[in-house]
Amino acid sequence: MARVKEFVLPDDLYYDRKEHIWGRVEQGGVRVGLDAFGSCAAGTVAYIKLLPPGRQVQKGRPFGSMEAGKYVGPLKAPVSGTVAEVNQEVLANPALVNADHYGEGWFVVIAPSNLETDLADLAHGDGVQPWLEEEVRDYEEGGKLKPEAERECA
Amino acid sequence: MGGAIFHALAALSLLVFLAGVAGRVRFWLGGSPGPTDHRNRRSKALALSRRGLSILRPQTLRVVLWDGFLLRRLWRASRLRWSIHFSIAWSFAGLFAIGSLGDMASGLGVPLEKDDAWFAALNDGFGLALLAGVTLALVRRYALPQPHTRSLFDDAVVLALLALLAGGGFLVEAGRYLKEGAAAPAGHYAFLGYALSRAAKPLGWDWAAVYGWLWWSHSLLALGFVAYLPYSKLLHMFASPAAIAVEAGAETAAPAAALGAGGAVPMRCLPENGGRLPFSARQLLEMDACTRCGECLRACSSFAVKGEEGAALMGMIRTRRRLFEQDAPSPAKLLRRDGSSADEWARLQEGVFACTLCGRCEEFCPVGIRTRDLALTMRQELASFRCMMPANLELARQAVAEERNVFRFPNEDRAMWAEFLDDLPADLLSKERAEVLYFVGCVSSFSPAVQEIPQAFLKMLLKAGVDVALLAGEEWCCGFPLIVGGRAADARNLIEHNVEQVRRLGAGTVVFNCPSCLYAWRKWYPLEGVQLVHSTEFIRDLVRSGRLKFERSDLTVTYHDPCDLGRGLGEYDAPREVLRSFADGGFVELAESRERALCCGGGGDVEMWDPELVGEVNSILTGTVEGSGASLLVQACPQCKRTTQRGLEKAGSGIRTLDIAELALEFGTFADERASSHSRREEVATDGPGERVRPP
Repeated sequence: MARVKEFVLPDDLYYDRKEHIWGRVEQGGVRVGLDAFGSCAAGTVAYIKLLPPGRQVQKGRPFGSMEAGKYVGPLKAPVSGTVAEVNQEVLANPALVNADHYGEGWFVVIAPSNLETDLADLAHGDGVQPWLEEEVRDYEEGGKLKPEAERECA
Repeated sequence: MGGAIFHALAALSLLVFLAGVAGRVRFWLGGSPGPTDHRNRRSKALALSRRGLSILRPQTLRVVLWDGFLLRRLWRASRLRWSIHFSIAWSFAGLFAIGSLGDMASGLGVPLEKDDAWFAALNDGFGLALLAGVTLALVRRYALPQPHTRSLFDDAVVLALLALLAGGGFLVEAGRYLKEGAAAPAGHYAFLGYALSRAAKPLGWDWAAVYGWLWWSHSLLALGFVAYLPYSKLLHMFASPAAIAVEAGAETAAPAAALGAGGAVPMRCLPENGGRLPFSARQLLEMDACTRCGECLRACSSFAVKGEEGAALMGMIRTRRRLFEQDAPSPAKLLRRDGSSADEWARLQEGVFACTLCGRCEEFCPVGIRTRDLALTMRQELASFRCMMPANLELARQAVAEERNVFRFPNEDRAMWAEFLDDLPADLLSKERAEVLYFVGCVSSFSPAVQEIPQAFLKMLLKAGVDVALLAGEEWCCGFPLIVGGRAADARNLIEHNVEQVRRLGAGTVVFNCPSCLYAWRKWYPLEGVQLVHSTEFIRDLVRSGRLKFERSDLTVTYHDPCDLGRGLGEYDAPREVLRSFADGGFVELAESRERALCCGGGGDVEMWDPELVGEVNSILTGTVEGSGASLLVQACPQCKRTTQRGLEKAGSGIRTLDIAELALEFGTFADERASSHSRREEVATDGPGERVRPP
């Protein structure tokens, strides 16, 4: 488990370092969501659109879009494949992303087409803690992560 | 001897007055003649002369008479303020005419006596009107101030001077009657001065000496007043009618020129203004024409939320004028105790970028200042000339430079919203020729809050049988966010690219659901022979032609005018025509609608400067929506819907919001659908699709 300040990132997940999108390798696919740091930086999620099951997605390309208090933009797939499942609950209640990052707040399950290669450049295991430390430091130095925001996220 | 001294002082006063006026005229002429960039003095002088001559056109003179001299716009804004202003302005002018000019005429041998009945009556009548106007102004400003009333030292000085002049005039008149002793033959016509003399007579003073003192005091005050005039807010006596005249005779720039000619705006901001001003001569004149009446504060939602006048145009003008004064060589600088220049610039930035550029204040401004253009030029100056572009706007600028959209969304996925739709024509995104181009815009394309709008509008276009194409990844930001963010130069390549795409497709019509995109295209895109149509106009034409019909609804519906569509482009009627065909008697107007519609808070890139302000400004609009009694709010702008639906949700309101395209799709029936449903009922077979319907 990686932890910096209030941000907890389970190290059994795979993380897109730029997008703060996590992937959990499961039977039948890769479950995808937004990590605690990304959720805090984006603010309260208000609207989500996700491609329907059956659509092809490419690693690094959008599988949906999200609008939050401080972010409007794409949700990029950590792996290539086909959308196998969409979380209808999170579409109905987008704030689940903030409330339960690694549980009920997931977005989609992707049936991967090139799993091993796609996972290779994602942060995982022991690599999560130093990456998270660096991210938090960068954000704080850039003035993007204010103490009050951290408290809200906590 | 006394006469010579008076004439010397009068000449001095006139000289100071003329120097002040000349200084202001020189200042105004320091701006460019118009939106066109002039590369040399001769071209600029010619353009200014043309502008000057345009004022002599009959329609310009008519506007100057109504708005400049009869104060029509002020009459519409407030009867009380009109009465105050009218009585002060015209009684002052009248007193000046019969006093100064009358004296001059008398000196030239014209048989004119102060004791003539008409002269005495006019003199006291004007004096009384001036006194009444000043008294009302003092009460309004100091005893019963409105939340938008802002009083400065200058206001007090001006009103005090006017009161002293009016009151002093009656004292001088009374002194003259007392000095002359015998009852004046037309004394009762000078109803106030003469009555005052009768009341003071029992005092038995040396009236000749008293009159001398009074006369000199009054004369010196009058001469001082004249000299002070161009250096005070009273300068608006000349600047306001002049601004109205220039505005009425303003040229309409060609779209490309409106952005400034190539190289007019530096691509990289300069550390200082480099001696150049981005303001036009008209805009510099407008800054002097501002009377600081506070009407723009009354109109401004950002001011209503923040309570800082800097967020409204009056405050921006005051701050910018102070900065002009700081730049100018002036001995007054030695006495000034204002903050540092850097603080002033920061204050200006704080206000200018908190403005939603909704233009509502333009409807309220009694002197017709083009407020939106002026605020836009101030942004241009800050962002392009002074390296004071807000950080988030700079990020958006970089996003557009790299991804061609403000959201930094991969632009090749711009049409992702369309992937949610079934049964789209296979060639929709790859057409090489099309009659109609649907320019979707960044907010509709990327914000998941409003993606139903382009989806609905596209479905509608297809149902209407329009030969439509989407540019998908070849659609680039329209440039609006950069232009209103003060970086017009960065929009040029976007404009060129989008124009090239229209030409490539051979489209004769471009349709929009985003009023800001349409505004940018109509105002800044050099496109001739191409129709630029908003969804409200498109749907209105479908309704008119009978191709779209609504079942009459018993819903109570209201409509919110988007700033860029309404005040920006003057389109108020098309959406109302559609809504009346839908709800008829169930259509209700918001308390503030059409030209005075409230801003949703989402305009002017404010979201990138102060996101919380957007929600707070929107809460004013949602308050009026809730007060309208409507159960359905129809909008015609993705950004308006994005902010307002969130505002209504936050307020826990049950009012539903729909874009007009969503409304048409959900409640309307298209001609082809009616025909096919009729055919099914009649069990008559059809043998293929009918003739393609042309766009309206």
